[in-house]
Amino acid sequence: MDYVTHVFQTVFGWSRQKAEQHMMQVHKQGKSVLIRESFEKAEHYVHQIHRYALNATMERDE
Amino acid sequence: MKLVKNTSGRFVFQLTPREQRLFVEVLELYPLIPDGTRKLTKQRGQATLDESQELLDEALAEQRVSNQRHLAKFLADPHRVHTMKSYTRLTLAASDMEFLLQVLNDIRVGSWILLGSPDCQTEKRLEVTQKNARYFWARELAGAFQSLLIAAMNLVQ
Repeated sequence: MDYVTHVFQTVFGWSRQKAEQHMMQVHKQGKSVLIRESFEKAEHYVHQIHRYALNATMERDE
Repeated sequence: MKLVKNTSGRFVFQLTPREQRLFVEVLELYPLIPDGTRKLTKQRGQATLDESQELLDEALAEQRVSNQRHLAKFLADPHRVHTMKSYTRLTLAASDMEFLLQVLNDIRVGSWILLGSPDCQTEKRLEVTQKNARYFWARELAGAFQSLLIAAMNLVQ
């Protein structure tokens, strides 16, 4: 779980507190909406998270 | 394995001979996440998304080759390791720590996938057999080494 927090801090530049909130959401609910961005930026973040061997997907915001 | 010194972004760990052997053995399993398991999106059927998935697959394949080369160099570098009578000292830069965290997570997650993705909250229970026991071992060890590296980094912050 610390690793997930570390990756969120590294990829998004978040504070430890914010990264931990999202990590806990993933832990308890199985997922967390990390960011809302343009297609290209979202794609970039998904690539970054996969590079850390974590799972992330992007979906169109309806 | 314990952190004994951290100066100017260089981490010095002390390992027993057994820990050193296990550390090397677990790293040598990289990569373990099977091809085609990492998805860009759950949506399907749009040409743009299919192209983007191909891009992700290519990027991850390149990273895997690059990491394999880097890991081979890392494991063969005699300057990182200082062997004493009863223990070894391993020196890691901050960039090494990040690299090793990525490699160890690939091994941990890949082992979990190869164990059938067991989930204690569903019916998918872990069944360790003679055939998959090495992945159980790898998952546990990779997780343990990962926690040690993270704890050392958190001490510095």
